[in-house]
Amino acid sequence: MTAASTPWRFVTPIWPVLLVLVIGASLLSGPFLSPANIAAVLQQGVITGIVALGMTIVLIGGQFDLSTGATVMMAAVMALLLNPADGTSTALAILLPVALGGMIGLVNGLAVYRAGANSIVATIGMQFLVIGAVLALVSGQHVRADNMSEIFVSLSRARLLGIPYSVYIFLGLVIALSVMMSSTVFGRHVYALGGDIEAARRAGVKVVRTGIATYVISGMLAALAGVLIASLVGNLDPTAIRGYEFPALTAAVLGGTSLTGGVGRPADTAAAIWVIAVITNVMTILNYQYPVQLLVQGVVLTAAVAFYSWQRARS
Amino acid sequence: MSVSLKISRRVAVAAFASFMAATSYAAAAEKIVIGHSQPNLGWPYIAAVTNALEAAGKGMEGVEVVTLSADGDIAKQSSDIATLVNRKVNVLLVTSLDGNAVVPALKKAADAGIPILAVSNEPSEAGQKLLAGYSGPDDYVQGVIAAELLNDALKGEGAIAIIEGSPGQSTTLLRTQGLKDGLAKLNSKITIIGSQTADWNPVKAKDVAQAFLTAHGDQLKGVFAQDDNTGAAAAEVFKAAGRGDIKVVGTGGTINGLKAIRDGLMYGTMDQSPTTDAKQALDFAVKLAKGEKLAEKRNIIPMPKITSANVNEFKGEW
Repeated sequence: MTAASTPWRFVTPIWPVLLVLVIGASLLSGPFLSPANIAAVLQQGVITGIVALGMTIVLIGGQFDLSTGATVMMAAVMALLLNPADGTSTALAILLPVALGGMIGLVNGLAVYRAGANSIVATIGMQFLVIGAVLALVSGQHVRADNMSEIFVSLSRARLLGIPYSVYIFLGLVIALSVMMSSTVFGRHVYALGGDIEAARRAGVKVVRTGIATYVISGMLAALAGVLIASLVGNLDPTAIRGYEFPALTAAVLGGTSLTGGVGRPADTAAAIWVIAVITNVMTILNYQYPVQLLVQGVVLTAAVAFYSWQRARS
Repeated sequence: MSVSLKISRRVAVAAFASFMAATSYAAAAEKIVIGHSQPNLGWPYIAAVTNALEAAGKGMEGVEVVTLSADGDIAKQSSDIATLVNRKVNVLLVTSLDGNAVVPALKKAADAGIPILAVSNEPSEAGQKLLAGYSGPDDYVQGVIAAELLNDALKGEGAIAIIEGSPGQSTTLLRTQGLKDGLAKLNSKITIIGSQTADWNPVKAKDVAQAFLTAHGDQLKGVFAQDDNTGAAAAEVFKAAGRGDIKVVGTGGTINGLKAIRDGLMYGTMDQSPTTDAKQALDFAVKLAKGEKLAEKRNIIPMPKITSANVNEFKGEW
């Protein structure tokens, strides 16, 4: 298998694609490269990007996590309901949703790795459960926090060198998770799980514990994305922020993460997130309508998947 | 053992109670039973109308409102309507989950001779033929009102962009068309230079607002956002970019929208009051139950314009 060597490969095709797109976009639209717009493109990728990082790790382990969109919604709603107005409530509004996201991940992990449930079905079930609970809790109404503390607001809106804080949070996560996946025992074990779970078990990898950890990470990251949404908008119709799991899955796949496990890198997923952000941004600037945007994204994704399959078949 | 016993006893009590209830309706011929089939508690506006309907119903002598919620399930809405038809309600209020899927169930109610009033949204054309009437807001008219607001704000000229709802939804299409027709009717020199979907998601609305700024720069003078949440989100982006002068008009008159107007973020919106919607629906329902006809088949609720000049007259209900 090429799985073992994958984390060490330096440049995957998604990076040249990103470079070409950035050049193309700046040729198509002069203002694309303006500082404000670059900051906007970077920020645009953050929320889906954080969810996609977690998705990538679960996928490398050989499983799916389709509950993340629901976890995003749960965390955003919970953060607003905790009304982060002062220091204590701000800390709670960040920590409690992330902790609950971790617990959702724990249950997913137990269902998949301990009980042996199919991960697509188990995590879709979790999605229904979480969305149902959230909508029942807010009885279908908008949720808002009117006096959000400066710290809470600044998570997504304050800027350093013109770039929103949330972008630095994302970059920090990309680096931390890249190191974790490429240079720690845990990371190597996750690749081993996705490569061949029985071989990993025989080689002494604690399969259940490692697998559950991938889901806990994914749940916590999705919850963090939800907290950032709360910070960014302060007011929500919960149903309007459904469905972040599929763009996240799309980004992971576009970045070369294998749907059968063992292959993928957090940094490549980040590159794919920016590829999608650049395409969406430049098409919005040029006022292409949604059907065209969807079509282009479909072409890009299909081409990428075909390319990766061809590449893997060849090696 | 004891649990199942408890449940079966509860079922028996419920069955007896509904039997008693049924006979007491028959006895008191004056009593009006209004059935309301509701699509989904997850939709803020619809949930607010449902609550307001139940509250208003409680305040009326001799009127009982029975609400069944479909919880976002098309099949459940059909069976809910069938249940209400079997209960022989005097009038059926329907807020459809899916304007096409609801039609066969409406047909059953019409065949049973129960007058049907569509509330808050309208079924497809085939369904509309079965209705005694419609009461509620009108997406197209909201677009027209937005055109009037923007025309006032920009003194009849300038470039605007639209932040749309979900692509392909009738709400989105009608609000956009209403805006275009409204501007044309006013002979406005306002031009629409861009329109993009935000999927009702304020996070996406911020991305779209930034892209509008990048694309059009100083040319952009106004924005029509198809709900208040996306409008307020876009206005925040404009303000942060030093373009607080861009006039943003939202839709709905929500708590968030009113706050954005008070804070000087949004220029205006139009009121879509769940209480007004529910009260009007209830008045018409009682008329229909008494065998009267409605003077007009389509009855749009008043949707007054809201700007900083009169924002304090509105309390925001959802």
